[in-house]
Formats: sequence, C-alpha cells, structure tokens
Amino acid sequence: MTLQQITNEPIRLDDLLREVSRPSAGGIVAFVGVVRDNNEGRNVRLLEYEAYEQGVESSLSHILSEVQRKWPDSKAAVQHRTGSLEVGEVSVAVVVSAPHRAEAFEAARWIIDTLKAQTPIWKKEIFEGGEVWVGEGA
Amino acid sequence: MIEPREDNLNIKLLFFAQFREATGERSREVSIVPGTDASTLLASLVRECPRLQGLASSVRFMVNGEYADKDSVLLDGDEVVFLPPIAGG
Repeated sequence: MTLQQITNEPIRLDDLLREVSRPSAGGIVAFVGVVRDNNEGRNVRLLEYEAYEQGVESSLSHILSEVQRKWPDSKAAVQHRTGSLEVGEVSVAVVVSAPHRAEAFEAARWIIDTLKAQTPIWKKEIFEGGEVWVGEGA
Repeated sequence: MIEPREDNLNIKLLFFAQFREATGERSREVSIVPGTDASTLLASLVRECPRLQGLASSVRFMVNGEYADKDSVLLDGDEVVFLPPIAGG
C-alpha cells in the first residue's frame, strides 16, 4: 500500500477512505482517535507521540494480515501520527471497507484495540503542572 | 559495556520514550559476549541508569522489529529495542 502508516503530517481521512474504497464494498467504517483535553483528572495541553518505525511496520503488517484472515472480504488502512499534538488533533485513523457494515465495524474495532496493545508507539502527556509517560505505572 | 574480545558480537540498541530520556541517546552500538540474552542486556543498562529500575519488569523486547522473548539470545548485527509500556492511539 502506498499510504504511509506513520506520519509527522496531519492525518487526512480522505486519503484513507480512498485507499479502501472499492465497488464491492457497501460500507466503510472509520475510527478516528483525537487528543482529549483531560486524562485521569488532569487538564491535558499536549500529547507527544513517538514511534519505533520498523516495529510499527511489522506490527501493522501482522495486524492487517490477521484482518484478512478473520474478515477476508474487508480492506483496511491505518495511519498514526507522531510528534507534538494539541487537543482536538487526530492521532490515529483506522478505516475498513467491507461488503456489509457488520464486518467493517468488527474489524475496525479489532484493529484499534490490537494496535493499542501491540504497536510500539509511546505518548507523553503534557498537562497543567507536569508531564507523564502514558501507561507508566498503570 | 563489556570488555572487547575477538569473538564479541556487535549489536545496536535503539532507545525510545523513558529509555531515550534516561540515556540521553537515541541509539548505541554495543559489544556483547556470545550467548547474551535480551534481559541480561537490559539488566546491564539498568545498572547504568538506575532510574529505569522501576520500569524493568514491564519492559517488552523487540529484535529486528519483531517481538522477542526476554531470554532470546542475541546475534551479531541484531537491532534491539526495550519497550516501556506502549500507548498508541
């Protein structure tokens, strides 16, 4: 696929939709992750994302292969942003097309859940009064 | 990290997140004796950077971009990453 899976640039949902769109697909589900203004009672100012690119590529390659096995008629694309993101900016997008909506919803949900558990990306939360690596000590 | 010897192996460490901050480096070349595994290398780094101690038990390992067990024996030319808890999304 031509789409870069890790990018420093703003994510353009149109590009992902175009990537998975095809005549046999009757539905496309998009999950868009956005920087939230609060976390565990803290007022979040920024999230700083960093990624191990080779590890991300291999992780997403495993995830997308598994998607093909579990939902053979689907087509999926994923893009994750790195760098410093402000509240409201898009950090990740997952899009899945399929002949019918059920498998598109299921696959999109599975992809984002699996990405969060397996793909080597980190984020530091910059909040009012300090900063913390998300997931540390959790 | 370990004294140079003829049969030592050269590997590359990449540092991210807390590891990058604690070492002040993005990567490092190290020389190891044959048979060294990933967790031994981590223990050696933790001795150098004690502030990583609290993370050590939750670290996962990648070798050449793929998840690897903590007792994976490292080979010459391997690229090793210690992963503190990930938080994509």
